Amino acid sequence: MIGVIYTNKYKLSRREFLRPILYILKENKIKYKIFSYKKIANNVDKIIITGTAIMDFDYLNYIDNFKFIIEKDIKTLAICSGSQIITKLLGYKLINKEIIGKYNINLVNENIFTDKDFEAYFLITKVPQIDKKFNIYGKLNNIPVFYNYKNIYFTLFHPEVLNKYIILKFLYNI
Amino acid sequence: MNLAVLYSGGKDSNYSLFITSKYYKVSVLLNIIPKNNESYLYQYINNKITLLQAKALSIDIYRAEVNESEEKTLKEALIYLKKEYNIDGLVTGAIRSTYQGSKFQKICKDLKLWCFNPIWLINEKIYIKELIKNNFEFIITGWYSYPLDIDILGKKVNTYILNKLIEYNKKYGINIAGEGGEYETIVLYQPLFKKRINIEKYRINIEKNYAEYIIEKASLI
Repeated sequence: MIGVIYTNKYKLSRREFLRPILYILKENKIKYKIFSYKKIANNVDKIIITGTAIMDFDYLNYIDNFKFIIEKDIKTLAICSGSQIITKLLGYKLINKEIIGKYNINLVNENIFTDKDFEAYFLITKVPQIDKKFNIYGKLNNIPVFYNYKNIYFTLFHPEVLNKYIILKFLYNI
Repeated sequence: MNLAVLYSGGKDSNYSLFITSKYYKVSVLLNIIPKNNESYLYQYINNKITLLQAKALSIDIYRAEVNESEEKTLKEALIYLKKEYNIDGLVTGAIRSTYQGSKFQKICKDLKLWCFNPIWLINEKIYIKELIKNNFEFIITGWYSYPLDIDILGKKVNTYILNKLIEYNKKYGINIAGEGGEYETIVLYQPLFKKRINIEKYRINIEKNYAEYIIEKASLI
Protein backbone atom coordinates (compact mmCIF):
# COMPACT_ATOMS: atom_id res chain seq x y z
CA MET A 1 0.00 0.00 0.00
CA ILE A 2 1.31 3.43 -0.98
CA GLY A 3 0.70 6.29 1.42
CA VAL A 4 0.33 9.67 -0.22
CA ILE A 5 0.83 12.51 2.22
CA TYR A 6 -0.28 15.90 1.00
CA THR A 7 1.30 19.06 2.39
CA ASN A 8 -1.33 21.56 1.22
CA LYS A 9 -2.97 23.95 3.61
CA TYR A 10 -5.73 24.82 1.13
CA LYS A 11 -8.06 22.41 -0.66
CA LEU A 12 -7.52 24.16 -4.00
CA SER A 13 -3.82 23.31 -3.85
CA ARG A 14 -4.63 19.64 -3.45
CA ARG A 15 -6.11 19.66 -6.94
CA GLU A 16 -2.81 21.00 -8.20
CA PHE A 17 -0.31 18.92 -6.24
CA LEU A 18 -2.06 15.81 -4.90
CA ARG A 19 -4.40 14.93 -7.77
CA PRO A 20 -1.63 14.53 -10.41
CA ILE A 21 0.10 11.98 -8.16
CA LEU A 22 -3.19 10.12 -7.67
CA TYR A 23 -3.69 10.05 -11.45
CA ILE A 24 -0.38 8.23 -11.85
CA LEU A 25 -1.28 5.71 -9.15
CA LYS A 26 -4.75 5.14 -10.63
CA GLU A 27 -3.38 4.77 -14.17
CA ASN A 28 -1.08 2.07 -12.88
CA LYS A 29 -3.76 0.42 -10.73
CA ILE A 30 -1.67 0.92 -7.59
CA LYS A 31 -3.50 0.94 -4.26
CA TYR A 32 -3.02 4.00 -2.12
CA LYS A 33 -4.19 5.79 1.01
CA ILE A 34 -4.25 9.56 1.37
CA PHE A 35 -3.00 11.28 4.53
CA SER A 36 -2.94 14.88 5.65
CA TYR A 37 0.36 16.38 6.79
CA LYS A 38 -1.44 17.16 10.05
CA LYS A 39 -1.70 13.48 10.92
CA ILE A 40 0.70 10.56 11.13
CA ALA A 41 0.42 8.12 8.24
CA ASN A 42 0.18 4.44 9.11
CA ASN A 43 0.03 0.93 7.59
CA VAL A 44 1.86 1.82 4.41
CA ASP A 45 4.84 0.22 2.64
CA LYS A 46 5.97 3.24 0.67
CA ILE A 47 5.29 6.93 0.88
CA ILE A 48 5.03 9.81 -1.55
CA ILE A 49 5.01 13.29 0.00
CA THR A 50 3.54 15.84 -2.40
CA GLY A 51 4.58 19.44 -2.96
CA THR A 52 2.50 22.52 -2.32
CA ALA A 53 1.98 26.17 -3.28
CA ILE A 54 4.89 28.61 -3.13
CA MET A 55 3.25 30.68 -0.39
CA ASP A 56 2.41 27.62 1.71
CA PHE A 57 4.70 26.78 4.65
CA ASP A 58 2.09 25.50 7.08
CA TYR A 59 3.55 21.99 6.83
CA LEU A 60 6.69 23.19 8.62
CA ASN A 61 4.56 23.37 11.78
CA TYR A 62 3.88 19.64 11.56
CA ILE A 63 7.23 18.09 10.70
CA ASP A 64 7.19 15.79 13.73
CA ASN A 65 4.37 13.87 12.04
CA PHE A 66 6.99 12.69 9.54
CA LYS A 67 9.57 11.43 12.07
CA PHE A 68 8.40 7.84 11.66
CA ILE A 69 9.65 7.86 8.07
CA ILE A 70 13.23 8.32 9.26
CA GLU A 71 12.87 6.12 12.32
CA LYS A 72 11.43 3.20 10.34
CA ASP A 73 13.42 4.02 7.19
CA ILE A 74 10.32 3.77 5.02
CA LYS A 75 10.86 3.98 1.28
CA THR A 76 9.82 7.53 0.49
CA LEU A 77 9.72 9.91 -2.43
CA ALA A 78 9.81 13.40 -0.96
CA ILE A 79 8.73 15.99 -3.51
CA CYS A 80 9.64 19.67 -2.99
CA SER A 81 8.04 20.58 0.38
CA GLY A 82 8.41 16.90 1.28
CA SER A 83 12.17 17.27 0.78
CA GLN A 84 12.17 20.34 3.00
CA ILE A 85 10.35 18.46 5.77
CA ILE A 86 12.62 15.41 5.80
CA THR A 87 15.89 17.32 5.50
CA LYS A 88 14.77 19.63 8.29
CA LEU A 89 14.02 16.59 10.45
CA LEU A 90 17.49 15.29 9.66
CA GLY A 91 18.89 18.51 11.07
CA TYR A 92 19.65 20.49 7.93
CA LYS A 93 18.84 24.13 7.29
CA LEU A 94 16.70 25.57 4.52
CA ILE A 95 18.22 28.51 2.72
CA ASN A 96 16.35 31.06 0.63
CA LYS A 97 16.75 30.28 -3.05
CA GLU A 98 14.06 30.89 -5.62
CA ILE A 99 13.79 28.35 -8.43
CA ILE A 100 10.57 28.72 -10.44
CA GLY A 101 10.06 27.24 -13.90
CA LYS A 102 11.57 24.63 -16.20
CA TYR A 103 15.31 24.01 -15.87
CA ASN A 104 17.88 21.53 -17.09
CA ILE A 105 19.30 19.25 -14.42
CA ASN A 106 22.82 17.90 -14.76
CA LEU A 107 23.26 14.30 -13.79
CA VAL A 108 26.22 13.99 -11.43
CA ASN A 109 25.99 10.38 -10.28
CA GLU A 110 24.62 7.09 -11.50
CA ASN A 111 21.18 6.23 -10.24
CA ILE A 112 18.25 3.94 -10.91
CA PHE A 113 16.02 6.74 -12.21
CA THR A 114 17.84 8.11 -15.21
CA ASP A 115 21.17 7.98 -17.03
CA LYS A 116 21.18 11.42 -18.60
CA ASP A 117 20.54 15.12 -17.95
CA PHE A 118 16.87 16.05 -17.93
CA GLU A 119 14.47 18.96 -17.72
CA ALA A 120 12.33 19.44 -14.63
CA TYR A 121 9.74 21.89 -13.33
CA PHE A 122 10.47 23.76 -10.10
CA LEU A 123 8.32 25.77 -7.69
CA ILE A 124 10.55 26.34 -4.71
CA THR A 125 11.87 29.26 -2.67
CA LYS A 126 13.75 27.43 0.11
CA VAL A 127 16.42 24.87 -0.63
CA PRO A 128 17.82 22.35 1.89
CA GLN A 129 21.52 22.79 2.60
CA ILE A 130 22.63 19.17 2.55
CA ASP A 131 26.06 17.53 3.01
CA LYS A 132 28.04 14.48 1.93
CA LYS A 133 25.73 12.05 3.74
CA PHE A 134 23.46 12.27 0.73
CA ASN A 135 23.97 10.58 -2.63
CA ILE A 136 23.52 13.42 -5.05
CA TYR A 137 22.05 12.43 -8.42
CA GLY A 138 21.32 15.75 -10.06
CA LYS A 139 22.30 19.38 -9.73
CA LEU A 140 21.00 22.67 -11.06
CA ASN A 141 23.75 25.32 -11.21
CA ASN A 142 25.68 23.41 -8.58
CA ILE A 143 22.65 23.17 -6.25
CA PRO A 144 21.73 19.56 -5.39
CA VAL A 145 18.11 19.10 -6.47
CA PHE A 146 17.80 15.33 -6.78
CA TYR A 147 19.33 13.09 -4.12
CA ASN A 148 18.96 10.16 -1.78
CA TYR A 149 19.57 9.30 1.87
CA LYS A 150 19.04 5.67 2.94
CA ASN A 151 15.57 4.76 1.60
CA ILE A 152 14.44 8.32 1.06
CA TYR A 153 14.56 10.00 -2.37
CA PHE A 154 14.38 13.75 -2.65
CA THR A 155 13.29 15.86 -5.63
CA LEU A 156 13.24 19.62 -5.21
CA PHE A 157 11.38 19.70 -8.52
CA HIS A 158 7.92 18.33 -9.32
CA PRO A 159 8.42 15.01 -11.15
CA GLU A 160 4.67 14.72 -11.78
CA VAL A 161 4.98 17.51 -14.36
CA LEU A 162 7.81 16.43 -16.67
CA ASN A 163 9.35 13.33 -15.10
CA LYS A 164 6.61 10.79 -14.40
CA TYR A 165 9.19 8.05 -14.97
CA ILE A 166 10.87 9.04 -11.69
CA ILE A 167 7.64 8.36 -9.82
CA LEU A 168 7.11 5.10 -11.68
CA LYS A 169 10.68 3.92 -11.00
CA PHE A 170 10.16 4.73 -7.34
CA LEU A 171 6.93 2.74 -7.33
CA TYR A 172 8.21 -0.27 -9.24
CA ASN A 173 11.98 -0.44 -8.76
CA ILE A 174 12.73 0.84 -5.28
CA MET B 1 -9.35 33.69 1.27
CA ASN B 2 -10.38 36.37 -1.18
CA LEU B 3 -9.39 35.60 -4.76
CA ALA B 4 -9.23 36.96 -8.29
CA VAL B 5 -9.63 34.65 -11.27
CA LEU B 6 -7.60 35.21 -14.41
CA TYR B 7 -10.50 35.15 -16.81
CA SER B 8 -10.52 34.79 -20.59
CA GLY B 9 -14.11 33.69 -21.03
CA GLY B 10 -13.04 30.25 -22.25
CA LYS B 11 -13.64 26.86 -20.69
CA ASP B 12 -10.46 26.72 -18.58
CA SER B 13 -10.93 29.98 -16.70
CA ASN B 14 -14.64 29.30 -16.28
CA TYR B 15 -14.08 25.84 -14.87
CA SER B 16 -11.35 27.14 -12.55
CA LEU B 17 -13.81 29.79 -11.35
CA PHE B 18 -16.50 27.13 -10.89
CA ILE B 19 -14.20 24.96 -8.76
CA THR B 20 -12.81 27.90 -6.77
CA SER B 21 -16.28 29.18 -5.92
CA LYS B 22 -16.98 25.94 -4.07
CA TYR B 23 -14.32 26.82 -1.52
CA TYR B 24 -13.55 30.54 -1.54
CA LYS B 25 -14.85 33.97 -2.37
CA VAL B 26 -14.05 35.25 -5.85
CA SER B 27 -14.34 39.01 -5.71
CA VAL B 28 -13.09 39.96 -9.16
CA LEU B 29 -12.32 38.56 -12.60
CA LEU B 30 -9.15 39.71 -14.30
CA ASN B 31 -9.24 39.78 -18.09
CA ILE B 32 -5.91 40.54 -19.76
CA ILE B 33 -6.32 41.49 -23.40
CA PRO B 34 -3.30 40.70 -25.57
CA LYS B 35 -2.29 42.72 -28.63
CA ASN B 36 -3.10 39.90 -31.06
CA ASN B 37 -3.94 36.20 -31.23
CA GLU B 38 -0.29 35.15 -31.03
CA SER B 39 -0.21 35.39 -27.24
CA TYR B 40 0.92 32.27 -25.37
CA LEU B 41 -0.63 33.53 -22.15
CA TYR B 42 -4.00 35.06 -22.96
CA GLN B 43 -6.97 34.72 -25.29
CA TYR B 44 -7.47 37.43 -27.89
CA ILE B 45 -10.54 36.72 -29.98
CA ASN B 46 -14.00 37.56 -28.71
CA ASN B 47 -12.51 39.12 -25.57
CA LYS B 48 -15.38 41.64 -25.23
CA ILE B 49 -17.71 38.76 -24.42
CA THR B 50 -16.10 38.64 -20.94
CA LEU B 51 -18.12 41.77 -20.07
CA LEU B 52 -21.35 39.89 -20.67
CA GLN B 53 -20.05 36.83 -18.84
CA ALA B 54 -19.13 38.95 -15.80
CA LYS B 55 -22.68 40.33 -15.83
CA ALA B 56 -24.06 36.81 -16.04
CA LEU B 57 -21.89 35.89 -13.06
CA SER B 58 -22.58 39.07 -11.09
CA ILE B 59 -18.86 39.38 -10.40
CA ASP B 60 -16.80 42.52 -11.04
CA ILE B 61 -14.40 42.35 -13.94
CA TYR B 62 -11.17 44.29 -14.42
CA ARG B 63 -9.92 44.38 -18.00
CA ALA B 64 -6.35 45.35 -18.78
CA GLU B 65 -4.98 45.79 -22.27
CA VAL B 66 -1.38 44.72 -22.77
CA ASN B 67 0.95 47.68 -23.18
CA GLU B 68 4.67 46.99 -22.93
CA SER B 69 4.62 43.31 -22.05
CA GLU B 70 2.06 40.72 -21.03
CA GLU B 71 3.84 40.00 -17.76
CA LYS B 72 4.14 43.65 -16.80
CA THR B 73 0.45 44.18 -17.54
CA LEU B 74 -0.49 41.23 -15.33
CA LYS B 75 1.75 42.46 -12.54
CA GLU B 76 0.33 45.98 -12.65
CA ALA B 77 -3.23 44.65 -12.76
CA LEU B 78 -2.61 42.44 -9.73
CA ILE B 79 -1.09 45.34 -7.79
CA TYR B 80 -4.28 47.27 -8.55
CA LEU B 81 -6.56 44.38 -7.53
CA LYS B 82 -4.61 43.81 -4.34
CA LYS B 83 -5.23 47.41 -3.39
CA GLU B 84 -8.82 47.77 -4.62
CA TYR B 85 -10.22 44.31 -3.85
CA ASN B 86 -7.82 43.20 -1.14
CA ILE B 87 -7.20 39.91 -2.92
CA ASP B 88 -5.04 37.22 -1.31
CA GLY B 89 -4.37 35.31 -4.47
CA LEU B 90 -4.94 34.56 -8.12
CA VAL B 91 -6.58 31.53 -9.71
CA THR B 92 -5.52 30.55 -13.22
CA GLY B 93 -6.73 28.00 -15.76
CA ALA B 94 -3.26 26.73 -16.62
CA ILE B 95 -3.35 23.02 -17.43
CA ARG B 96 0.01 21.83 -18.63
CA SER B 97 2.07 24.72 -19.97
CA THR B 98 5.13 25.19 -17.77
CA TYR B 99 5.72 28.47 -19.62
CA GLN B 100 2.32 29.81 -18.56
CA GLY B 101 2.45 28.19 -15.14
CA SER B 102 5.84 29.56 -14.16
CA LYS B 103 5.05 33.11 -15.36
CA PHE B 104 1.92 33.23 -13.20
CA GLN B 105 3.64 31.61 -10.22
CA LYS B 106 6.57 34.02 -10.32
CA ILE B 107 4.48 37.17 -10.61
CA CYS B 108 2.24 36.05 -7.74
CA LYS B 109 5.23 35.18 -5.59
CA ASP B 110 6.80 38.60 -6.22
CA LEU B 111 3.54 40.24 -5.08
CA LYS B 112 3.10 37.87 -2.11
CA LEU B 113 -0.09 36.48 -3.60
CA TRP B 114 -1.21 32.86 -3.53
CA CYS B 115 -1.34 31.22 -6.94
CA PHE B 116 -3.87 28.45 -7.47
CA ASN B 117 -4.15 26.30 -10.57
CA PRO B 118 -7.08 23.96 -9.89
CA ILE B 119 -6.95 22.21 -13.27
CA TRP B 120 -3.17 21.80 -13.40
CA LEU B 121 -2.24 18.44 -15.02
CA ILE B 122 -5.87 17.41 -15.23
CA ASN B 123 -6.53 14.45 -17.50
CA GLU B 124 -7.83 16.17 -20.62
CA LYS B 125 -10.40 13.56 -21.58
CA ILE B 126 -11.82 13.39 -18.06
CA TYR B 127 -11.79 17.20 -17.95
CA ILE B 128 -13.93 17.69 -21.07
CA LYS B 129 -16.31 15.00 -19.79
CA GLU B 130 -16.54 16.85 -16.44
CA LEU B 131 -17.40 20.09 -18.24
CA ILE B 132 -20.18 18.40 -20.19
CA LYS B 133 -21.44 16.61 -17.07
CA ASN B 134 -21.53 19.91 -15.15
CA ASN B 135 -23.68 21.54 -17.86
CA PHE B 136 -21.01 23.83 -19.24
CA GLU B 137 -22.17 25.13 -22.59
CA PHE B 138 -19.14 26.17 -24.63
CA ILE B 139 -18.35 26.56 -28.27
CA ILE B 140 -15.13 26.37 -30.23
CA THR B 141 -14.31 29.86 -31.49
CA GLY B 142 -10.84 29.41 -32.89
CA TRP B 143 -9.18 26.46 -34.61
CA TYR B 144 -5.42 26.77 -35.05
CA SER B 145 -4.21 23.31 -35.92
CA TYR B 146 -4.10 20.74 -38.67
CA PRO B 147 -6.51 19.57 -40.02
CA LEU B 148 -8.25 22.91 -40.47
CA ASP B 149 -11.75 21.94 -39.33
CA ILE B 150 -14.07 24.82 -40.19
CA ASP B 151 -17.21 22.84 -39.40
CA ILE B 152 -16.23 22.54 -35.76
CA LEU B 153 -16.37 26.32 -35.28
CA GLY B 154 -19.38 27.52 -33.31
CA LYS B 155 -20.34 24.00 -32.32
CA LYS B 156 -21.27 23.34 -28.71
CA VAL B 157 -18.84 20.85 -27.25
CA ASN B 158 -20.68 17.65 -26.46
CA THR B 159 -19.81 13.97 -26.55
CA TYR B 160 -19.79 13.99 -30.35
CA ILE B 161 -17.28 16.86 -30.50
CA LEU B 162 -15.24 15.26 -27.70
CA ASN B 163 -14.97 12.09 -29.78
CA LYS B 164 -13.83 14.20 -32.71
CA LEU B 165 -11.14 15.80 -30.53
CA ILE B 166 -10.06 12.34 -29.35
CA GLU B 167 -9.85 11.24 -32.98
CA TYR B 168 -7.72 14.30 -33.85
CA ASN B 169 -5.55 13.54 -30.85
CA LYS B 170 -4.92 10.00 -32.08
CA LYS B 171 -4.36 10.96 -35.73
CA TYR B 172 -2.59 14.31 -35.45
CA GLY B 173 -1.49 14.57 -31.81
CA ILE B 174 -3.58 17.60 -30.90
CA ASN B 175 -4.16 18.14 -27.21
CA ILE B 176 -7.76 17.19 -26.36
CA ALA B 177 -8.16 20.24 -24.13
CA GLY B 178 -6.48 22.55 -26.66
CA GLU B 179 -3.67 23.21 -24.20
CA GLY B 180 -1.16 23.52 -27.01
CA GLY B 181 -3.17 26.39 -28.48
CA GLU B 182 -4.91 24.07 -30.96
CA TYR B 183 -8.28 25.68 -30.31
CA GLU B 184 -10.02 28.36 -28.23
CA THR B 185 -13.47 28.31 -26.66
CA ILE B 186 -16.07 30.68 -25.27
CA VAL B 187 -18.44 29.66 -22.50
CA LEU B 188 -22.08 30.57 -23.17
CA TYR B 189 -23.40 29.08 -19.95
CA GLN B 190 -22.06 27.47 -16.81
CA PRO B 191 -23.76 26.73 -13.46
CA LEU B 192 -22.61 30.02 -11.90
CA PHE B 193 -24.20 32.08 -14.71
CA LYS B 194 -27.53 33.65 -13.82
CA LYS B 195 -28.26 34.21 -17.50
CA ARG B 196 -27.17 32.65 -20.80
CA ILE B 197 -25.11 34.28 -23.54
CA ASN B 198 -27.08 34.45 -26.75
CA ILE B 199 -25.09 34.97 -29.94
CA GLU B 200 -27.09 37.16 -32.28
CA LYS B 201 -24.56 37.73 -35.04
CA TYR B 202 -21.23 36.17 -35.97
CA ARG B 203 -18.90 35.71 -38.88
CA ILE B 204 -16.35 33.06 -39.76
CA ASN B 205 -12.86 34.23 -40.61
CA ILE B 206 -10.82 31.68 -42.54
CA GLU B 207 -7.08 32.14 -42.98
CA LYS B 208 -4.48 29.82 -44.48
CA ASN B 209 -3.67 27.94 -41.26
CA TYR B 210 -6.48 28.83 -38.94
CA ALA B 211 -10.14 29.77 -38.73
CA GLU B 212 -12.08 31.83 -36.21
CA TYR B 213 -15.68 32.31 -35.17
CA ILE B 214 -16.00 36.01 -34.45
CA ILE B 215 -18.95 37.05 -32.30
CA GLU B 216 -20.27 40.39 -33.58
CA LYS B 217 -23.33 40.75 -31.41
CA ALA B 218 -24.41 38.94 -28.28
CA SER B 219 -26.77 39.46 -25.38
CA LEU B 220 -27.88 37.88 -22.13
CA ILE B 221 -31.15 35.99 -22.01
